[in-house]
Amino acid sequence: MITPVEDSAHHILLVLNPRPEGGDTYLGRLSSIVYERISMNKSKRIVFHVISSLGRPFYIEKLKSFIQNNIGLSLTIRFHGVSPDDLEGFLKKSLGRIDSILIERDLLEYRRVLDKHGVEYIVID
Amino acid sequence: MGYDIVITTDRTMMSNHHGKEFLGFLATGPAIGVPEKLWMWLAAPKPRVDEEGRPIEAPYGLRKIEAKLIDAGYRVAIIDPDHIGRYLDTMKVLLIGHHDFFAYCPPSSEWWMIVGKEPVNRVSFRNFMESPVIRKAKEKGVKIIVGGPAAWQWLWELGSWRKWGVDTVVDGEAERVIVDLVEKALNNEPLPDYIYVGPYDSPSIDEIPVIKGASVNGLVEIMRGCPRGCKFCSVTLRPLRFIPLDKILEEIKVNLSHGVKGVILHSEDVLLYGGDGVKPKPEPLLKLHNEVRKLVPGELAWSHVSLAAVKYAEEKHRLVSRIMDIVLMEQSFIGVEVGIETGSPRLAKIIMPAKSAPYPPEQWPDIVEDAFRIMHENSIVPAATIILGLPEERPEDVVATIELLDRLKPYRSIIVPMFFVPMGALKNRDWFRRTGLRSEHVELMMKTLDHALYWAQDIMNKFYLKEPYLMPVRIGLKLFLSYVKWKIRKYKPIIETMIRH
Repeated sequence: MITPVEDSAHHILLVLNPRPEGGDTYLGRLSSIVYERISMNKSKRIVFHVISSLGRPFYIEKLKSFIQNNIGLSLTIRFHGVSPDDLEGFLKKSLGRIDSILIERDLLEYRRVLDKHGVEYIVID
Repeated sequence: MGYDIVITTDRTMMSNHHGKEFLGFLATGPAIGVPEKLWMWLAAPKPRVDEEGRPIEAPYGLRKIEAKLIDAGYRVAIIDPDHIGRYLDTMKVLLIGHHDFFAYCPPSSEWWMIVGKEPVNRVSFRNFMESPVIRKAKEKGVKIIVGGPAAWQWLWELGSWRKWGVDTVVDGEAERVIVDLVEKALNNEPLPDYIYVGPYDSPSIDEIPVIKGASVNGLVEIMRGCPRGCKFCSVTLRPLRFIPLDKILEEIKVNLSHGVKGVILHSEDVLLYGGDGVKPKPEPLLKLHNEVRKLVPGELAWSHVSLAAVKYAEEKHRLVSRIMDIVLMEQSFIGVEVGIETGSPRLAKIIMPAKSAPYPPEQWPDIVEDAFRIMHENSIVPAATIILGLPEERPEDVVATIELLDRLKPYRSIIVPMFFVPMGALKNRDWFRRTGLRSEHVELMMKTLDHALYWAQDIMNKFYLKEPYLMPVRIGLKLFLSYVKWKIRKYKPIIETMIRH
């Protein structure tokens, strides 16, 4: 963890599909969930842990609007892989530090991995 | 000696620009009317380096990162881009900083859009990143971390990010994160792709280190952040901190010990140093300038001031005149960057409501003219910016700016129009593009060009580049000005016809 930006941060796992971001609706949904979560634990720091078949760093395209709209929060983004197996590996190693999980609706294989681990997650459209 | 950590940048940044900071702006344009090599020499000549390839003067931001890592006990140095190859066997982390990696900042982006040719800073940075030495470093597993004021530009260059093997992009003030990040890189631990350091994690005064080597042209910061809250500016998002005078003097002494005789006091608004919000206060400013003048045998310069602060300081305390009495003991003028941005009170109210403070935004054009008059009378030469295509801009706003330009004709200055680039609280808005240009924009640009050509000649005749060793640069610039005048004469009738119709 990089101090201080990853210390007492709200850690969010994002599982993203490879389609271009869905404009304002997608951004609005992502933002409202993120801001609701961080206001609950009064954090001024977020860490996104990303699984996306877009690969690094191209998955950032889907987060660009969020990054651009963010002013007040420290934001760290880490990439953990592209496949359901990578998600499985990440959960085994790091599930304990994740506060929220967001996944895009059509990623059924990835959702099965989350279900297997019995974790709660939010589906975004 | 080998270094584990090398800090560097491309040639357009790693230069002292012949000791004249303003010449560095040439690197934001493409070569015009002269070969690119000559243009690069005018804008960014190679700096003096020591036997290890360390530049005697290096960009201030890189110096801060270097100092932070030296204080933490690392083997680190700023190395000139031509000398990095000597450290391929020891280097494990390469830190690269820049003000404008891909030429998306103003005025680079504007030059690019108008002329249709890549600015030399973009070309130079790309050549640097694609040079054999950087490729070799990557093959050897060197971690590349990039940052600086232009870090946001990487979001638009994901292909380059991937192609050049950049490991982490750091956006924001890095003092609090850089040591830990570098430690992780040295230990081969997984690195984040992106870090944005928010205002809450900005370093305190105590966490900002004193530079260990000289900065380009003696630049030292006197404060960070800005209280004005202009929506287009990213600096204003940061908390306001005044650097204590003893720390400022300590950094100047570092510069002097390396033979850099001048100083550029850096702040978004020098006249607000030690101020009461947006109101300049005489005591801290007079003390600062007195102490600096006593130490510095060369030129004393300012990076930026706000026009409202100029007017308030002079009218309330006769402070500009009193400061210039100190400054002009050893020199004939001072140059500074200022922001007009618009001549429209309506737009000023929306985009930069506190830029005119403590005066109301309705008085903005009068504030600008008063400040220009005060500066003219006190041998201060401003390089002013105007922003075209601000969100919410209407044609009548541009006309108001044109009318203001007419009022500024008698005052010695350079006025540069810039296209809106989404930054600060407006970073989610769209760019201003060439296709958005209207006839009134063109008219405004022509007016600023006329103004600049008239006063550039006067400034060069009376103040600038007087040193004998700068004679070749002076000749080069005069040739360039003649070329631009010739081009303008050729195209002006066509442009005027276009504006009329």
